[in-house]
Amino acid sequence: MLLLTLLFSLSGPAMGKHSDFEHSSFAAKSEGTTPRAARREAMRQDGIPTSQQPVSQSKNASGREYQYETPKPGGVTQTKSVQQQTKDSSHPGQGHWEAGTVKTDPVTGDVRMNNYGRPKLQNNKSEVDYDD
Amino acid sequence: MTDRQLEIRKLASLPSYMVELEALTGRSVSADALLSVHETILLRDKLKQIPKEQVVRACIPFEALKSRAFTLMLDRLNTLNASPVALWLPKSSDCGLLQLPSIKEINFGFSFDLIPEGILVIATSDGLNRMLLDFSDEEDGQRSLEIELHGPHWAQATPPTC
Repeated sequence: MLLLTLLFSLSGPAMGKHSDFEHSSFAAKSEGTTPRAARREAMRQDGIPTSQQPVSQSKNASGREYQYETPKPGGVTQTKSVQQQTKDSSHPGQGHWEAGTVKTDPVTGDVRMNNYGRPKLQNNKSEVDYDD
Repeated sequence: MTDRQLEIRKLASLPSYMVELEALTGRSVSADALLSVHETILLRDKLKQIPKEQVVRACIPFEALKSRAFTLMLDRLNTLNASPVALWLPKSSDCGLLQLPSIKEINFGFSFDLIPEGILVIATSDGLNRMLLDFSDEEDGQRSLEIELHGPHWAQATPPTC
């Protein structure tokens, strides 16, 4: 009886580890699970070539930010921003990357800033979660 | 920018711009009713001269656009300067402004997704005042609206608070 109990207690955690391993393998293959993959996917969704070099980059308490100049119809450029969000209270315990066109005042062209001192993004931005 | 480039930008923006204008006015809008790009630039140059310190700001939930407090603020703006107004959306610089007889003719019950850029301005046609509405999804999952009232008359109004 003691032997059976010992075997059972050993088999439980072993099965759990197996499940966790399977889950990890699946997650590692999918896009958006690592911060880097999530950033690149957010860029793709917003039409920013992942090979493009940023024109500026910064870092603050909520994460990193990269800015890109991308072409717009009619031959002009627009500023896009790719931002890491680690302090999003609607996604507790999960960071994500956002990518989108920088929101500007339509009259003056001034960039709208958020409470973290970062450029606001237009509402049609893309968001990709990653596992912390 | 060349005339050809301007025309390409206008053609690319016009269909969705007309949808936005019709939702904001509650009536059909013809492209012929839009001010020319030249008139739009003239008004922009006047609006840019509003002193930066002539502004009041407030942040309220986006849904408060339908509130009585917001309607009361519009009444106050109309009292302070009753000039015709121009609707200034992100695509207006490419397509031309739509002018309306009064700020009271604008449908502020528009949906959050109507303007994907999340920002619009209503300016008095005399170029002295403007109201900026900047709406966003916030990190707590709420939808917020920042109101800015600029100019010697409209900055005297008190925007609603939460």
